[in-house]
Parts: sequence; C-alpha cells; structure tokens
Amino acid sequence: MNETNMNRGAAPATGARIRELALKGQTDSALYNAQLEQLLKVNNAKRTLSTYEHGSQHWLDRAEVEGDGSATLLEQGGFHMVAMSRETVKLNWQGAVDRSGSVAMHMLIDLSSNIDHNLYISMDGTKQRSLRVSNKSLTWVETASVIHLENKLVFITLVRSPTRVSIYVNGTLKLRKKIDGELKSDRLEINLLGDESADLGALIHGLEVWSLDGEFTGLEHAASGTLQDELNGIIDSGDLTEVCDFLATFDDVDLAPLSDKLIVLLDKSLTVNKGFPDWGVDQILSALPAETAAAWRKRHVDDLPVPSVKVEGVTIRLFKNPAKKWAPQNLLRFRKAPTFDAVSRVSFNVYPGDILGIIGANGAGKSTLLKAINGLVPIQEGAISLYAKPLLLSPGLGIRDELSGSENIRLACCFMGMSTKEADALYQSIVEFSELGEFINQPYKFYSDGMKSRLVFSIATAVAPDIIMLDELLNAGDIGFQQKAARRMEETIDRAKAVIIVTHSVPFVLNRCNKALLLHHGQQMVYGSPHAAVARYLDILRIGDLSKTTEFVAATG
Amino acid sequence: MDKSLYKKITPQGSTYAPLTWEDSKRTMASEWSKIRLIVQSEMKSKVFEKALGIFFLAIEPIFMAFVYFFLTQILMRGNLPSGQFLNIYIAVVFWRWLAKTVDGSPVTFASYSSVLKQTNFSVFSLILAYIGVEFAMFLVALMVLFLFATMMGYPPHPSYVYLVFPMMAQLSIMLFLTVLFATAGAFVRDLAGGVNVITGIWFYLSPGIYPVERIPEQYLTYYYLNPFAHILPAYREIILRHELPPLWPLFLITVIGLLCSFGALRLLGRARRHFFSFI
Repeated sequence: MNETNMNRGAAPATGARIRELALKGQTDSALYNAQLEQLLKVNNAKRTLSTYEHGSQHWLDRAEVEGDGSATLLEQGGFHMVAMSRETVKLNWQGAVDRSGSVAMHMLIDLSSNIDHNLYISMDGTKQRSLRVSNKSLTWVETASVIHLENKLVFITLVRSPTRVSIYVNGTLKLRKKIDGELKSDRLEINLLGDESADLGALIHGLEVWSLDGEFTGLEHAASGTLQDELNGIIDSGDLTEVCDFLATFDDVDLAPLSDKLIVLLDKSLTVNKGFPDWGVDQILSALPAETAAAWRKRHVDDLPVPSVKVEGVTIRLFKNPAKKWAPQNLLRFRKAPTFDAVSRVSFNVYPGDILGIIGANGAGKSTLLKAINGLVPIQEGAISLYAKPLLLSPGLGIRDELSGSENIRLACCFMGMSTKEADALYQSIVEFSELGEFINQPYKFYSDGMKSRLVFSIATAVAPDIIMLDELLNAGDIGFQQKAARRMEETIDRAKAVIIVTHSVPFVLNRCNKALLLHHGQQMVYGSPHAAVARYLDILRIGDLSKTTEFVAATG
Repeated sequence: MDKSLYKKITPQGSTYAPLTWEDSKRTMASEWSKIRLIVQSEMKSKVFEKALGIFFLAIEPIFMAFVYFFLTQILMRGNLPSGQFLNIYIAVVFWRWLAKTVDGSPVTFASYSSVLKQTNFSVFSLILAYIGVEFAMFLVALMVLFLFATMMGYPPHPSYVYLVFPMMAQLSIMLFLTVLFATAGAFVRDLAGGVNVITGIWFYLSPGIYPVERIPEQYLTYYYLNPFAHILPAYREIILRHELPPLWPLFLITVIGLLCSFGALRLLGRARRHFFSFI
C-alpha cells in the first residue's frame, strides 16, 4: 500500500501481527523477527541494523556509547539505557542509515520506567530530525507534532523519505508530515538526557533499521480505518484541542467530508464554559474550505466571546544596563543607552474560563510580559486590553519585619489593592489558613521560615480577582502544609474568571491549561495547544535554539 | 474607549474606563484609608518598635540645637541676641522636618520596590504616606519644642493657630521637592547623597542659626528669594512673640509651591510606568 493512500485497510497481515504482539505485552525477539522478516521481504528492503536478527550484543558492539550514563544488554535481547540525575547516555551507530532512499526504523520500547520527555532518536544525528519519546507521547521535533500514547509497550515505526516523515505506533499511522532536506549523515543516534529531578531508564527491547529505494508498504495493521474515521472519532469526543493535535500531525487530511461535524464542534466551543480556544478555532477554520470558514465567521460575528485579556503585537524594549541610563557621561555625549527587545510582537487572547500557561526558558521574557499586562512595564508596540480587573499574585508584598503577622496581613492586603474593609473581611480566613494561632500577634521577625512562608502564602492566595496572574505556582511550608497549599492554589485558580500563569511546570501546563504560550528569547514560538507548546519548550531546553544546527546538550531541568 | 474595557495599555501609557462620581469617591476614601494604614505601620515599624525610637525623635532636635548654639557662640564670640538657643531650636525642629523628608525622598520608591514591581499600587498614595510618616515624626518633635518653650517662659498661646500659614508654605515646598526627588531617585539610585548636600547647604543659607539682620543689606534682595528666609522667622514670630507674620510672602510661596508640586506630580504619573527597569 502506498503511504499517501488515505485508506489504511489493505495491508498484509504482518502489521496486524506486530500490533497484536505489542498490545499483548510480548517482548520475545524471535516473534518480532519473524514478522519483520516477512515485511522486509514484501518490501524488498535492506536491513542495515537489527537487534532482532543478530541479538543485541552484536549491535551494542557496533555502537559507540558516549556519556556518563549506562547502556546494559538485556538477557532476552535489547538494552536498557540509564541516566542518573544529570548523566547522559548516547548510543550511536555509524553507517546504520542508508541515505539514498527511504529509511524505516522499528523500535519496541517499554515506557513503564521513567524516561520523562528525555529520550531522543535521530536518524542522522541532528536534532531537527529527531523523535522525542516520553512516557505518554511521541514528538516529531522538526514540526513539534505530538502523538499521544495509550500503551506502555509500544512498537514504533519511523519512516523517512526525502520529502516526508511518517510515524506508526503499534501498526497505526499516527503522523505524516512533509519535510525538507536530506539526511545529513548515516548515523542513528539514541540519546537519553538525564534530569536533576529523577533517574531515568529507557528499556528498548528491539531496534532495527531498513532502507529502500522506493516507498515502504504494509506497515499498518489491517484493521486501521481511514484517517477521516479516526478524526471522526476524535470529533465525537468533543475535545477541540485533541482535534487540533490530530490535525497538526497530518498535512494531507481531506476535511471536506467532515466539514459539518467540525462546524458543529466549533459552534459547541462557543457555548462551553471552560474558556474559548481561539487558536484551535482559527486552526480548524484555516483547514476548512475558505467559504465554509468565512460563513462560520460571518454567522458568529456577534456571539464570539469577549476576551478578558487581549494582547496584540506587543513589543517590550528594555535597557541593557538601566543603572547607567542617566549617567552624566552618557547624557553629555548624547549617547543612547543600548536596549534589547525582551518581548517581541506577542499576541494572544485570554477568555473567561481560560487557563493560559506561559512557558519558556529563563530569560525568555515571560515575567516581563506578565508585568506589562499588569501595566507595570511600558510597551513599545502593540496594545493590551483588559476587560476585567487583573491581579498579579505575589508573595511577601511589603512585609515588614517589625510588624506582627496580623499587621502584616492588613498591610499586604492594602498593597494588593484591597480596602481596609475588604482586608478585614478576609483577615480571619487568612489567619486560620496560615495555622499561626496566637503567633499571629507576634512580630514577623520572630517567625520561623515555615511560619513566614505559610503566612505569606495565605495572604497571597486569599484574594479572588477576576483575572489572576501568577509568576510561578505558589507553594509553602512543610509537606503537610504543601498539600493544603496546593489545594488552595487549585481553588484560587478555579475561582478566577481567567488565569495567566508563568510556569516551568510541564505537568501543570499539560493537565490544567487549555492554552499555552511559548516564548523563546522574547519571540512567540507557539500559541495554542499545550501539547505543542510543551513539545517545543522541551526541545528548546534539551537541544537549544532549533534554528541552529547544534548537538544535543544535557537537560537543564 | 469601549465601556466594557477596564484598562487599555498602549505605548503612550494606560487609560482606564472613566469612573463615576460614586466610584471616584469610593476610590478616594479607599486610598485615604490605605495611606493611614501605611503611616500607622511605618510609624510602628520605624519608631514605636525601636528601643530608642521615640526618645531619639524627641531628643535629637534639642541635641542638634545645642551643637549649633555652641558653634554660634564660638563664631560670634558670645555676641548673641537673647533667647538665641530657643531661636535655633525652633529653626532646627522645623528645618529637620523639611530636611528629613526631602533627604529620604530619593529612596522612597526603592524601599517599596517589591510593591511597585508587582502591583499597580498608587505612587501618589505612597508619596503622601511617606510625607505623612515624616509629618507624624515631626509632630513628636514639635510637642517637645512646645514643652521646652513653656519651660523657658513661652507657654502655648492662641497665636499658635497662625503656625498653619508658614507650615502650609513649607509643606507645599516639601511636597514639590519630595515628589521631584522621589521620581528622580527611582531612576538615579545614588541621588540621595547629592540631595543631602543640597539641603545641608540650604540650611546654612537660611536664617536657622543666625538672625536675618546679620545679612548685609546689599544681599538681602537675593537672600529673600530663599523661601526659608520668610518661613523660619515666621515660626519665631508666632512662637516667641505671638504675632502674625507677614502673610503675603507665605501666600506666594504656598501658591508657587503648589503649582510646582502639581507639575512634579504629573511628572511622577508619567514616569511611573518606567520604574520597573530602574527600581
């Protein structure tokens, strides 16, 4: 079967058998080898690397192992890569990839042990053409396309032709994207980049690489329906984000037959009370026929929700060295103080019910943007419109050591914009939550660090503004209080009409945010699906600036 | 501006939805209560919670007056008018009100940097609270002055109500200078040292430790350009002689001071959004 064929049902039985084995949790090399050999014959392809055919010792012998982590052979075949803390381990097979035609890589991997988002597989040793494997998803780095995984044992087939990349998971086509450029080398690389927060272990049961002059066939299992069938199912689930994630993994899905259902989904997005995914609506409308999209926009011109925050093409320019801006030597020489764009032409909307996660490496401009939305930093271009009162939740505002806890509560509330009456109304709940009891009337300077952080957290999360802005999730105290604080944080977020949060917490963005903004050196890299933003963010963290060709670097956490 | 809009931020600055009269009244009342709270908190933190806080406030002007009295004794070889110590003490109490307020103003916003960097708390309220704290501390010194004057045979007199005229003049100048230096101090962190020097020189150019009569006649025209050449003698007139001081110069100083303060407050309003990079 040709890959471009939309009907995925006419494949030989091999794909189905491999899928069956993977779903049953079968890891026996001989079983996979038998099936793969059949498929190899059907395709008349050449095996350039195989742990199934020759056993893993042979292939580990051929590999160059780099890094301070370890790669251990498994008795039943395959190998186990381990990276403790910041260690890294790289397996690198020179000559494993034949660059003349199409290349297919098959890998059976067990995702039960923690690999976080840190396992990269590259067909030519360059970061752009790598597949990032996490415990829950696969990401094709080149296009930041994310495939969600449902099983812990997955058989991944990565096929790359000069113009297209395709990814099959357990025999089902999950991604097909157009790509540019040829493979840069004949090197297959598997990188496990360690992380300070956890020890990682990638368990790879089998690996092989094929090459072929033409296109591969028969990689899918027979029961696979059409892409439209799959999309149809996702649309029925009513999750617009998932529809967008699916669309982001294919360039060539014909949406015309599904136009009506997609329009119904878009209509539904206007009535759901959990935010408005404007990015998803735009993405779907741009994929629909132009007349259909225009008609939808015209029909809803009056009932599109009003954003709580609208940021349009905002640029923030800061001085490189503010301390010297007004230095007499600079003023006398009429020298302009050097500046840089901390944020450049960023646009997004936050609607009632939205939780927007702003992510990015340190120095990306996240906090500066948050402060600009609050009117604390001047903008040089664009406009920010706020349709409700915002509050940037900040711990420890105006705390005075000499004052008692109770006086500090009133003072901090005052700095947060509350009147004394409002502060008095919240006072009792803050005292109770902080668990300070009679210590509340003692001077703050005599508090232990735990007591201080409890009080500060209790004050910061006591308010209920319309738009909450947070520069990192707040937490405090010992383990017992941390759980209570996390619950309170969740409640505070749930109470707000809209939330914008700057965070480094990938789980928070994936699990709680309905949209995400990724900034990199002040530039807007992604605005939209949390999965796509996180995928790009992790790649920036792990492999640096994607516009340049650099080698993998160790994870920075 | 769209009525549903709360705030719009552009490169030209921030604009808010217009407030109704009721909202404005509520906002003003709320700001006033915040200023009072900050003044109370700062007084407690700076004075009442310190071991020697209130004692220093009371005793420091007397101590400084003694130093100046001693110096003038030496410089003028004992050729001093009667009641010279009280003359100096009165000047020191009122001058230190100005000097302490203005000298500390460049670091006003820096001391609230976490608040200003993370909230939209009104800089005007902060400035007024700062002036309020200094005023409260001045009142302590003033009470001690009245007590001391009583002991020296100058008991409180109904003419003290005239004090409001020179105090208004002084307050208007202080407001202008405090706002100006506080704004400038947000951008130039080491301004405080320079302001200290200026107020130090200014004191010696004012009739604090010597009477105006000591100034040669040919310099008097220029000397009277200094507002404190009118303000400090006015305090003495009221406290020591129970007389109404000449009001015209005080009125002029008050008006000019208020106009300048208005300009400085406008400057502060425009500068506020640039504080983030500097404080």
